[in-house]
Amino acid sequence: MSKSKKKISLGKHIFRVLSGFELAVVCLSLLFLLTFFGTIEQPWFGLWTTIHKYFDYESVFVIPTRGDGKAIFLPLPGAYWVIVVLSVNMFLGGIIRARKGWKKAGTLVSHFAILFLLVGSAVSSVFKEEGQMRILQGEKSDYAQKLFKYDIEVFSYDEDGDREAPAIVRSDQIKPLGAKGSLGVSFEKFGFTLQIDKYLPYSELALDSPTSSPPKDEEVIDGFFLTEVEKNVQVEERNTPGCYVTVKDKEGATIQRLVLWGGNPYPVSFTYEGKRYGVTYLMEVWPMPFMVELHKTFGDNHPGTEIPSWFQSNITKIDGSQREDYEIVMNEPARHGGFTLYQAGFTRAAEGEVPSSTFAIVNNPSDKWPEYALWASALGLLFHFLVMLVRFAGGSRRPKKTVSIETTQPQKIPTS
Amino acid sequence: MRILVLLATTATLLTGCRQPETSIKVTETRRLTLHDQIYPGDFKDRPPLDWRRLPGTQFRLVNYVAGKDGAVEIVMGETQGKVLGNANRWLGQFGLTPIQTVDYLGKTALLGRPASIVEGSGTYRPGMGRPPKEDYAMIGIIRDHPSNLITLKMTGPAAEVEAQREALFKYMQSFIPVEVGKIEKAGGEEKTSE
Repeated sequence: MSKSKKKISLGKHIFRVLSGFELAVVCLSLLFLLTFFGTIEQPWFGLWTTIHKYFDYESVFVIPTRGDGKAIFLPLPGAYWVIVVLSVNMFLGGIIRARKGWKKAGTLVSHFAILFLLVGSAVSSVFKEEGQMRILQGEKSDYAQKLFKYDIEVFSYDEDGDREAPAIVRSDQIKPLGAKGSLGVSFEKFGFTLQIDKYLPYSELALDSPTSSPPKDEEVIDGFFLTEVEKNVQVEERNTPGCYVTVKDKEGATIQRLVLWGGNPYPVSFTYEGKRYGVTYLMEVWPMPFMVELHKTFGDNHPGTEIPSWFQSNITKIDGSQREDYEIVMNEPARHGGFTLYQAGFTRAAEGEVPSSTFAIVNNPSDKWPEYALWASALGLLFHFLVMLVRFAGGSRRPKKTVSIETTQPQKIPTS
Repeated sequence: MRILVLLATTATLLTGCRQPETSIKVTETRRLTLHDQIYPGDFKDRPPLDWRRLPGTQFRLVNYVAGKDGAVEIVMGETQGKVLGNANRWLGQFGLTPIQTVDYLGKTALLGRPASIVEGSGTYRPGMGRPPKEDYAMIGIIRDHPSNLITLKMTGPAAEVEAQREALFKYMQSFIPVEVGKIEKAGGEEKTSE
């Protein structure tokens, strides 16, 4: 009897592939390789660069690189997208396709918890905001700055010489320009426009002098010029971008040409229609919904090193009329709404100087999701193991069933 | 197999080809924070409208240009040493005879402390390999202090410097110490600068 081949629909075929154990094994193997190569690369190219290369949602494909800069031709999908596929696989295979019933409740809960963990990491990757707030002892601050994101801010000064609220050109709009690109910027609140060009991601601002001349054809503005430098792969924070900007009036005529550099902490200025304006290129300023007063910062180093072994900041967090005191130490952050303040560093003061604390501030809507997922997973597994234990114990106490098999004497085969 | 090809093609298309924008309109703003009240040297200033601010340097906390083609430089900085030594260094840049005592200098006040006025004119030799400049002038103010001096110096073509004289002294009076980042002590007492 021949068996006829049962035809499977395309949809079912896709479902089987996406929910299959094989896909889960492939995804986990890819994640192992990505983590392995990322760990190998990180000492050579820096933590931030490597994380961005392997785990950012913008990285669809990754080519691992050796320490000497040579590529290892093993193109891998980016970790973010592997985790997306793994999440789909976990949902379809671990929840939809999985067998249901109260005996399987524990594993279903655990699968759901792991899926929740993965979704939480995706939410974090896209929506998390983080920055740093540095405060000198005895001072206060109501803002953080986001490292590696440099914005151009343009503002006017009021009659008292104070700054008014700035218009912001975001780093994501400037970075794609490169040295040859150009971006025209108009403002809702201002009558002039900007033309941004010659963007250099790694640069220094130099003064034109007999001892420091610009390269041939390099533009010099007000005695200053930008030079391109090697990327600092070990300390990403030291990479400072720069660009040139032309301020134009409504007719497109040039008002002023400016050079902007991210390491210059104060604005440059120009005048337009009887009003003074400032332009600054700086790490993105992130206003906080609270004020932090730093009363005391102290800590200690590991013996014989400059590496802190512990440090603590005594702060007051002020939100309107509410004041709360905290002692922030490593691994014991302060929280406010969705914001978490971690002690990221402190600087001892030399004689006559003032010590300071640096806080890492994170606003992550999925901050607590991993904790909830682990609790749920633990409970699910505990339930599952209890069910298995009860079944096992119940099975060993039950009397063994005897199976009776009916036999008959074989018939004698007649011989002729 | 077809599915794999489809997925690979989609992924390749998605990676690509995002062209940078050539023009944008900015509407985004943010509220003001203490960051917007940070000033070099913790002194807020109010320069004349026709003074244009340039990037600062290691020795130039505040760096302005004014006059025709920005030929006049106005620089504020902090330095070590004594008033007399710094005054003679400035006079030496114009080839003028060093003075023996600060009594020869004009007197004023800067940020609540006594300050000396140093003036000179002639051929300006800035040093550090820069070429000399004829018919230049300088008006400088040096604020005395036990730990560090604050200097404010205007240099440029003599006629342009003279035209900016009144503006310079008015600018000097505009300095206000800024301590918005300091925690107020209990009882409303504010920490004051020296």
